[in-house]
Amino acid sequence: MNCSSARALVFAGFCLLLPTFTAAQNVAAQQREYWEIVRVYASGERAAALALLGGWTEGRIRHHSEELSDVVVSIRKCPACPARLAYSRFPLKAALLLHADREIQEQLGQPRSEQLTPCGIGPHATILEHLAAILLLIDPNAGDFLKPLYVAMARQAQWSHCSPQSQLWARAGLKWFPKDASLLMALGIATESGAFFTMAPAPRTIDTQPSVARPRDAAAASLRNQWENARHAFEDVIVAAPDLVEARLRLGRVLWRLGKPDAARACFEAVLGSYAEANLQYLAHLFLGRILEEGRQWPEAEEHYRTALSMQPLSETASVAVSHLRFLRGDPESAREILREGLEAVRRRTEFDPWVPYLITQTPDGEKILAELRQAVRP
Amino acid sequence: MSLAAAGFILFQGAALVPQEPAKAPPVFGVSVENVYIDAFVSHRGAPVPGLLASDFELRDKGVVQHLELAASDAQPLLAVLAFDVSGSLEGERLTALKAASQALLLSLRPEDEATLLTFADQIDWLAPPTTDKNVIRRALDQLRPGGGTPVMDALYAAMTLPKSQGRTLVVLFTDGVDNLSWLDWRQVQLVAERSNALVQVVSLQPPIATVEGSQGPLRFGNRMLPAEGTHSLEFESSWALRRIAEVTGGRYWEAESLDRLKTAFTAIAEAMGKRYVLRYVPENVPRPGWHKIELKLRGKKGEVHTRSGYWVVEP
Repeated sequence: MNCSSARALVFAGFCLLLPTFTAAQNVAAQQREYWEIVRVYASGERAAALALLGGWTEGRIRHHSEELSDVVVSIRKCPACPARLAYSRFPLKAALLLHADREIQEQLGQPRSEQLTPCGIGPHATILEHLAAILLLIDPNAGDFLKPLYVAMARQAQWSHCSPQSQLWARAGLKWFPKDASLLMALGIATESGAFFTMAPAPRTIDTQPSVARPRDAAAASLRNQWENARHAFEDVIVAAPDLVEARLRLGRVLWRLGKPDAARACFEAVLGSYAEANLQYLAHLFLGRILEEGRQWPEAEEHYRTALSMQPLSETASVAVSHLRFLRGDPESAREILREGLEAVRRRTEFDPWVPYLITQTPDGEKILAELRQAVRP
Repeated sequence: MSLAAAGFILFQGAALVPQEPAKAPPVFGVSVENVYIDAFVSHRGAPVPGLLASDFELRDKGVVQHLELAASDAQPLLAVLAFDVSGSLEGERLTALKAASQALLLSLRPEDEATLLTFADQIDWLAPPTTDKNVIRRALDQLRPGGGTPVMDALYAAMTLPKSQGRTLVVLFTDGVDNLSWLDWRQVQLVAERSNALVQVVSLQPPIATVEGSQGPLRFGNRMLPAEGTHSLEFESSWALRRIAEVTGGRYWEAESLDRLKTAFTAIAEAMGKRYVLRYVPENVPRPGWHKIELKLRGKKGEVHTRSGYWVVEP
């Protein structure tokens, strides 16, 4: 081979390798840019980081997700390889929070009214899953960070009136930490809330034509299944954390919805026999009153309703409960007066009646947890 | 003699007697001698005027009764407006509701009273019963939407709170599905059966079919449908309101658009002036307990709307 042909061969080789080299350079540049965004986020420039991430194309997000998926596989296969070392140096927790925030921005917005709220699971949730898997492979204490993160996401979805998404986030956390009481509780609340907000079909006693009765029965069975799932979730919480009183209260309410008043009553009595916080005691009195009312034990029911009203004197719910019971007992005059006074009192309320957050399960807890986690990852 | 008369059944001249029935359903503590039945007759959607007492056949507990026609305008009317002002009412829906309310208020006579209750995260009794309709108009102008939808609790309050010596008309407006009430439809239906109110429910809801195309899970009025293929079913919320309205002799009006809202309110107002008040003294029927009423036309065409019955207990 003469000199010129050797040069030609080198040149040809260079031409062949150039695209690969350029692509590798691009990948490296994109990697640097990504971790720079994460560092911006970690430093507290949250809005700026989210805006930068928001500028990514769908293709780039998908590519990034696939890369992270490959990293998970490679670290799993070879724990001692360089990828593990490289990723142990990256601010993974901040990256997780960045994608959590972006997912919230894109999928779990503030409900505009109590009506239709579109929500879903987006690509940043998938990225978050890959990052969580990496963190679990390289950090033995990853659970201390990931458990509250998944709880926060479940709560945040709940806050956005997105119970199915909330269940998915709780289940995603439970995949890594199957016995964690806080995640089980988040799943239970989301499932209960989902069942509550599922419209019940009209009773089968009306319109018994088979064409209507069959789908109606199917809808009723599906709804019952949701309540059963909520029941299992709260039973699991009680196994994992027997002292978690709220789980017992919620289990009681679910059992009542499933038509098991005796079992439900035992749960509420257990709550009242414990050192539960005042709001839980208040709800237990209300719920126990309802079971007694349905069992036609009206004096006992009224006693519980009145106790609830004394604990929350500005409660519309307790006023309605007492008033309605007075009506049932043949005393519409006092029913009217109690309701009138109750509605007057409600105007002085500055916070929600505990019945409302219980039912809607819409709490700002998710954002509170996320704020704490953000604080913890700041350099 | 204590008199029973009503929007459909109005018990007048006797207070409800506190009762403590151990295992029996609660009932009104009145001794009924005259029973007044308020009925509306329509044919192909239009009111049927000019009927006589002899054109009706009424059975009380299955026994045919002798009827007389009483003047329908002899009693003043109390119109209870119970309006859903949850977050979904923002904007043109609220404007349409105010306009529709005006139509109803204009149809009331000077001696008729009106009162306004609203419900969202809480129930507000904004204006107690008054013959000054401007008080209600001013209260309507102040409405600010926001919050949840405790429909059943609000309906209970609308039937329980205002005191009336005449006929009571409850017009419940909602544009959503109950998501906050303590009471369920069974409890409220029981109150409706025992109240003297005529309940008219006006619902303004997006048709379920339009919701199918939305992102994410199928949602409707902040509540989800339980399974695929069930969107053609009737769900408890609207069914229950329809049942409660019909128990009192009223109707469930489903307004498909904002324009239809005013039509519904106007129709309710017009129907109040075209009702028949029938009077009878129950004969050959035991007094205490539930009195099932069956009212139909004799030899005339038309659909009769009246309450399904009333309760009586020995004083």
